[in-house]
Amino acid sequence: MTQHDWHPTTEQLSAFLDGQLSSDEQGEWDAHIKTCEQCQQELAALRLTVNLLRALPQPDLPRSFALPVNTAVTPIADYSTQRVSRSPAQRRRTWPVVLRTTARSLCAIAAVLGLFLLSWGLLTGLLRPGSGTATSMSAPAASSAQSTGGSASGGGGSATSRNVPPTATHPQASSAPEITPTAPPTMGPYAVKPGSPQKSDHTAAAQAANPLRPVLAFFDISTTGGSIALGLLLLLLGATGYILLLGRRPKARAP
Amino acid sequence: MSKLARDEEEELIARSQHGDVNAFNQLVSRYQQIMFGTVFRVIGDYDSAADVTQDAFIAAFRGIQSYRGGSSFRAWLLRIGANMACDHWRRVQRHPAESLDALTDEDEPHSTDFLGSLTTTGVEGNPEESLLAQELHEVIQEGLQRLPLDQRTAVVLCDIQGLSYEEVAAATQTTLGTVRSRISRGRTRLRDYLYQHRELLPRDYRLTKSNES
Repeated sequence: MTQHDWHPTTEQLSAFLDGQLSSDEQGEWDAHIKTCEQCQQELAALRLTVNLLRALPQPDLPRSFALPVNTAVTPIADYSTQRVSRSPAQRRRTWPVVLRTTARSLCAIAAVLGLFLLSWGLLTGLLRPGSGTATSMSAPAASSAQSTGGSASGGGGSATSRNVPPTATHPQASSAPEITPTAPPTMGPYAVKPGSPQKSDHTAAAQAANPLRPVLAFFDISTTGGSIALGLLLLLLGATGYILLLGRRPKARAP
Repeated sequence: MSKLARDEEEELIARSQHGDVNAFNQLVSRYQQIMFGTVFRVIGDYDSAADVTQDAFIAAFRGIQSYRGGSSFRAWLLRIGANMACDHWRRVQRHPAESLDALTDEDEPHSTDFLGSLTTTGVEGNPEESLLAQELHEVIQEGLQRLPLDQRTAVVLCDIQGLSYEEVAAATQTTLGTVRSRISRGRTRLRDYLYQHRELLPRDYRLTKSNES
């Protein structure tokens, strides 16, 4: 048996059987196969496997697969690019349902948030009709306070106390606003900056130039009126959206 | 396929695209053998293969608008059939209870009829030889079912149904290189599997490895 330091891959052997070698491969192959007994045997085994497969009889048909004449035509535009595991109806309906469910959840959350803000505004307005409400609001106002709270600080007299970030972990900040500038160690990293006097002057000046200030001030949740207005808006939008989306759902999903 | 037959087929396809079921049924009668054969070799269960084949033809009729002329219609049809057969296989793998039901169904008469039909088309006359052929076919089918789905589909389409590499690539939505590699790996695995059952192979089909031992 002749020794060779190179042999064609099994893939090349297989492709050779089907005449699928590239011309380069074919050249190398022809020279090799004549002398390499090992490859000749490999090729013979592979060829026999293929011959066995080709000799398999076609199974008898159990019946004719002709379609009934009344088969409905519902053309699907790009059927060939899709997997056929899901029925076309399923595919059409999945995305809108997911979107609608998500939108409905968001509306519900907005409505609940609005209701919360509204009741909070009404409660604080009723209990403490004075100006001290602003500081006690900062904690529950959550994330929305961070976006509006900055511009709000320019509007009132107690600018330093309103700059306190609305983190619930610092209850002493809201209950005793006058000590915040002198007590930086108890504050988080956000609070240190606005706590220093020169910094708060600077931010107040910058915010005075903000053209959006009147709009934002209307929905400023650190004031009772703003809280009620924003709460009402969220509640109305959320509830309307929820009801609209709820009404359309039973039509989309057949029982 | 002759030019006449091709023209005729194109006309049938065009009529099917306009919703003509009778035209489509002529295509069905042309291709139902290769479709059912492909699905059956992938799945390995006669009754399920019949259901999947029927579903595939319905899906093909509904989706025939998306067939663009020029490419092989056979490959386009078999793509749908192969996809559905693979989906069926995966579903059964995920829920083994269904395949157990299918196994118990094997005892019913239609299955033995089917095995009989397989052997009669194989070797004529000699009952001993036909029994051997029947066992051999079962072993090959078993070996096919042990291949990964992508290799199995490629081997069935190329070696059993006689599709070209280009048609296999179109039917499985892959490149020629991938087809070449899948067919090669599938054949090699199958060869190793058949080698383990070489006593069933007819004398003139004995694998070379067995001659050495």
